[in-house]
Amino acid sequence: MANFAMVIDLHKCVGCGACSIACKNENNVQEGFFWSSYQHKTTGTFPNVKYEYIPTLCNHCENAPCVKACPVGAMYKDENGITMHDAKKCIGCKTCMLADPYGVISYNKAHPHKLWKDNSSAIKDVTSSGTETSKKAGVPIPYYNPEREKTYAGIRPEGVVEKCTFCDHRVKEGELPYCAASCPAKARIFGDLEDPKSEVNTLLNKHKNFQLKPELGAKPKVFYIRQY
Amino acid sequence: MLMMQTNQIHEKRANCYKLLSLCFYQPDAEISAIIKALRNEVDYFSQQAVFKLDEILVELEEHKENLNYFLIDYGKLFVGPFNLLAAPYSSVYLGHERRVMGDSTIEATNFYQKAGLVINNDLKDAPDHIKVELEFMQYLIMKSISIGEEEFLKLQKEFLFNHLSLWITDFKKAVTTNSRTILYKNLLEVTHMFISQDEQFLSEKI
Amino acid sequence: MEVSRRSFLKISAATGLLATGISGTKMMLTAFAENSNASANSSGEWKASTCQGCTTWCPVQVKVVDGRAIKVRGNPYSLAHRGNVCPRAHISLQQVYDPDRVKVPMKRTNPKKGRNEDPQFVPISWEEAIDTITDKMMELRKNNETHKYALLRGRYTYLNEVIYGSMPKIFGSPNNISHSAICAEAEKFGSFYTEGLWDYRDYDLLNTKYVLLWGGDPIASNRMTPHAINVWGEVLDNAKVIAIDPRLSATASKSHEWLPVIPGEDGALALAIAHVILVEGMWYKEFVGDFIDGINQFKTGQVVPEESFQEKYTYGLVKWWNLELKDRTPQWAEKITGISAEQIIKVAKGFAAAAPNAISWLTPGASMQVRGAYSAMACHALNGLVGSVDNVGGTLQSSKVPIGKAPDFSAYIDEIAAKGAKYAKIDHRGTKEFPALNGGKSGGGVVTNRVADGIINEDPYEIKMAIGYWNNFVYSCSETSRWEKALEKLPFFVHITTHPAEMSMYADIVLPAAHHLFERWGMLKSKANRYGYATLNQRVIEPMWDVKTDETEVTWLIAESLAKKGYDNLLRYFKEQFVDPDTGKQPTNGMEFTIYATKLLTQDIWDPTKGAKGDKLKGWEEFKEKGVWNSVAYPYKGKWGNFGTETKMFEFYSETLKKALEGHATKHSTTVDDIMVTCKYEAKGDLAFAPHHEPALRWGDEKAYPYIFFEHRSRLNREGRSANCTWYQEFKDVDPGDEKWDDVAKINPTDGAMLGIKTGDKVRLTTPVGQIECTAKLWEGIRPGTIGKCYGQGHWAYGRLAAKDFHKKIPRGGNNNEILPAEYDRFSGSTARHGGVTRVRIEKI
Repeated sequence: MANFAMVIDLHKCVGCGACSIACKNENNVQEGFFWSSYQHKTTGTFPNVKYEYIPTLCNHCENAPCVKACPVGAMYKDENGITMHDAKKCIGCKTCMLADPYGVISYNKAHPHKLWKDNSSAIKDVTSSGTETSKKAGVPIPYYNPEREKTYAGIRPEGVVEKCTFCDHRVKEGELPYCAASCPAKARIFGDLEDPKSEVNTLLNKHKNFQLKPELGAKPKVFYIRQY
Repeated sequence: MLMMQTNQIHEKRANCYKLLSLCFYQPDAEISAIIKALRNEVDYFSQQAVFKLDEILVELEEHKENLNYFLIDYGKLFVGPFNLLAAPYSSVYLGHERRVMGDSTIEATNFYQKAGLVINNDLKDAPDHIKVELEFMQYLIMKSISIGEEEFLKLQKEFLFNHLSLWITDFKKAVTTNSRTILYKNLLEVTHMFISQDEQFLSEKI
Repeated sequence: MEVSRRSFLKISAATGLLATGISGTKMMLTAFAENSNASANSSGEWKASTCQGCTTWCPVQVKVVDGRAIKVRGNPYSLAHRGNVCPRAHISLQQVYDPDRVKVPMKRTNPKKGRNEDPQFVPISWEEAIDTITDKMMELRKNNETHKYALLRGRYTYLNEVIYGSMPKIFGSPNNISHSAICAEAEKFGSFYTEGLWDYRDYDLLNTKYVLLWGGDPIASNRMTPHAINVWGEVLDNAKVIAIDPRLSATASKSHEWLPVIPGEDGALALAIAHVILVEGMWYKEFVGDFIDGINQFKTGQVVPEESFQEKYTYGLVKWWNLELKDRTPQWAEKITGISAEQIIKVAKGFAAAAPNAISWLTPGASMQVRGAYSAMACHALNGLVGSVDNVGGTLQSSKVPIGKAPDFSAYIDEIAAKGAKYAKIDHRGTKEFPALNGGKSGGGVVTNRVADGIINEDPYEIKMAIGYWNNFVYSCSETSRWEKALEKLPFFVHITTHPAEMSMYADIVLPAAHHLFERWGMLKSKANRYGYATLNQRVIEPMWDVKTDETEVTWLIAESLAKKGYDNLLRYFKEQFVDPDTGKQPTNGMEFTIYATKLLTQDIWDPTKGAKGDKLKGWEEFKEKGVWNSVAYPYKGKWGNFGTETKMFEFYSETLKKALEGHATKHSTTVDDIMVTCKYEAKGDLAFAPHHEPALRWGDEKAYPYIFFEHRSRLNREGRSANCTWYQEFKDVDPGDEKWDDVAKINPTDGAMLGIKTGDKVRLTTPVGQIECTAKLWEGIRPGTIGKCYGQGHWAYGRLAAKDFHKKIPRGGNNNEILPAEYDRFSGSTARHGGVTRVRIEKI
């Protein structure tokens, strides 16, 4: 089977955040949670100032600390090298979050998407409410993406953790993870490390690359090439 | 087997799959009606199945004021939240590990796609749930009756032989061991009998 | 909703649905749905529309599942953006499904208007709303006061031909007022009075070797944003990129050099660059020409005889040099701009060395300034010097996109209307003080922000009723307090809007508008990547609420109601002139009218017999399906020698502007010099017709207001309409220096230390016209001595996330327009919202 990985070309990346917003859209991720995120920093002093931006997501480590830590096997590696999570098995103990060196796992301590379960309105009788809108749409959030359900809880319930799955539901249908598909700079390249001809391998051979916190030995599979 | 026209058998088969599928939804007041309807269909292949269903009807009558009796068993067996006693998902039995949404889920989904079906958005469950797979068989049968295409007979065989029949025995065992109601113990007996019989039936077709 | 078996049993009992001998009985499926699109991998369908989150106007596709819009992506048929969209497009989903949207028409029941008054809105029917509106309109007609009606247009589609183009005139009012002057008119002034183009330019990014960005932030905001993002890595590989901006913008952070110019001094910098190019003999001879003897006579401070130079496709180079450039040395500019002479020289040489594949990219940042008309000309003139105008890797116009005009309506104008429409407009365009020289004509352009003063002072007369659509002038025009006053005074105001905006709070009637990307029809044209294109807005989902299309459906209802009350000219015009070009049928309702109008105005594009140069379409159905039509690629150098100027040449000394200014002066029986003074420009004589230095004009004296205030745009702003979306708020920090869920004033750390202000402190910003409160952010990406702040937050209405407390009208942060003075670049009519138009005092609270 495949061993999926992502290469992020920081030279092409413009730091626009489209990937992270699109991720929320694809995976029905509630406010406050970020399966896809970024870090940025400003260094130097005026006028010699540098701003850097680096997109982050689950590294789908070959040697995933969260998988090792999970006591019930809810966090696991699938046959494609994706670090998957089974919401049905998850007991919400948060051990994975403690083990995760990248801070990419979130815990649903309450019922998710509370804005869509809110009954109040801005102006009585003339503007709507979260509940009314979602009810009218017939789904928990009006732009709810049902495809997420194919392989994972469409919306993760209270009491379990959640994280990026490399959009395994899309990948299984031959599509790119939505962050990569939605990147207007085409800075995210997704592919199979096992396939010597894949673009990820081509790029990794062509450019120097780095991973986040490689020293921990988790063997992260999100690689960064070039500079922002 | 009674002497019947092939199409009549197909209709019976389709009805059995559909009614069995409905039995695996959360039980409500209509469960008796469904079992009764099923009773009228299974006779074409087995009097023992009729007997098993009659036992269920007795139990349903006994507890007819107390649906909870069945709901609790249903919940523990099939819903969870955590420790499902008899997970109703193919992926749990066919995957290497016990997990939902494994490869066999995709396998099932691929079958559905081939047949031109998508999961109803309102279905808040995995596509490899027993109720979904049973209904899928009904769909294939009805399609092969209505448009007579070889394709749908082929799909029936493929799906039954390579997927559904592979896990039904283990699933039955899990239910038999863990169920506290006649409803689900016998339901699994009947389902198992029916599927074995249907395998036989289909293997006799070209 | 759990799937119910009940329905199955009930229906099967009634119809014998369990198979019983009737082969082929229709099946009841419980867990499944039959996929109509058998080969589809996923359910749902992608339908084409247009994103109007900024004026890039991107062709997009919307994924529709079970009637719901669930995703937006770039339209793959678009050659301009090649299937890409920026982050704004995704945010539109949270707009259309915003729980705070206005669902139904409403009316105010509290007659008192004011920021602190609760309008006490109650829902009403469309019938009642329209009936009330047309009562007022009929009253104006009865009293021969139709000119006292105003239509205030904000963002629009080309269907505005109806509500803005024809309706006021048929009704009898001169007051169809657009928002354009708060958008980018000064920028267009720059290209008009040099190359005769009153429009944005296209930029040939893929072939360029040098990009000078004048306040431009193309990977974040206007224009051609998705295309710019898409190719930016390549641009950085192939070209040198220089960002001129007092703030380390998103693009500045992805450029080779950042020139943190002092706000409002872009023009001085451009002039010094021009000076160096000429002194160094680096102008592009193929375009500009050369000295007859081939020897460069441009020497600092020295006058050059005009006859010694033979120009090719340009006009007035030596005049420009003699009048202005000869003294504009880098050393002179260093003191004014805050950019070292050394850096200016380096950039000028690099830019000219890349000629003609070099772009001087002019934007509102460097032009929407007091006196910005001349900065705009100076920045754009650089393209003339290096011959990049209409050239490979340079700045381009657009291929023709044949979107039509509304049918002639002159036959429907009656006597009352003809009289009413003759009055002067309420925005003071063409008055001595506000020339607004769009198209070379005095009063040819709009002065949007003057409308407030016009209403308040009844100058030149009282406005009795106004309809505003897709706008929010109480929030988006500078010195908002004037708009608050104006709308308090306005006797009857109708707001057509998706959200309860600030402007809605002053309305007598609020009408719920269809969302442009998902719920309405319309069409637009734009350009990027050398392709012009037409793109459709389509109703891709059935609206959840009782909304209507502002430009056409509401107008239709008004026309019908007016007809019932005895004035049917408008309805007759709509019925008789907007017939379906396919069938010849007249519209019988608002939706048919909308669709026929859309078809009619785009007929030259989709009708194969019309022979439009570009994509070949089979007809309307194919246009609907594709959603976009692409022109042929723009041909280079087509305008050389045929520019739209008076001389047909690229003008460094603008005969076109001379004619316009002299025309304006004659109209007011005075001299151009007098006009210059009246309009707050300092230059005299011939300089008025050439790009020249005008000192930045700022409100407030330095003692009371020690810092220069400037504002900028957000890469997530959907034109100030994103703030009620969580995806805006929780990603706000993708704007360099900004913070999630907050509104920050960015201060250089050295200034912060002096002021005793730390990051996170609550601060008050005070200017001569107002004060706001927000959070302080010490950041190195800001020029010392300036305070920079993003536009887009500080709503006190609009919704419950946009405002910190909607019911108490407490804003999240502060709206820049409350502290920006209503100041102008008068020649273009533009609101001067950039260039450090005001000084500011900052205090910790």
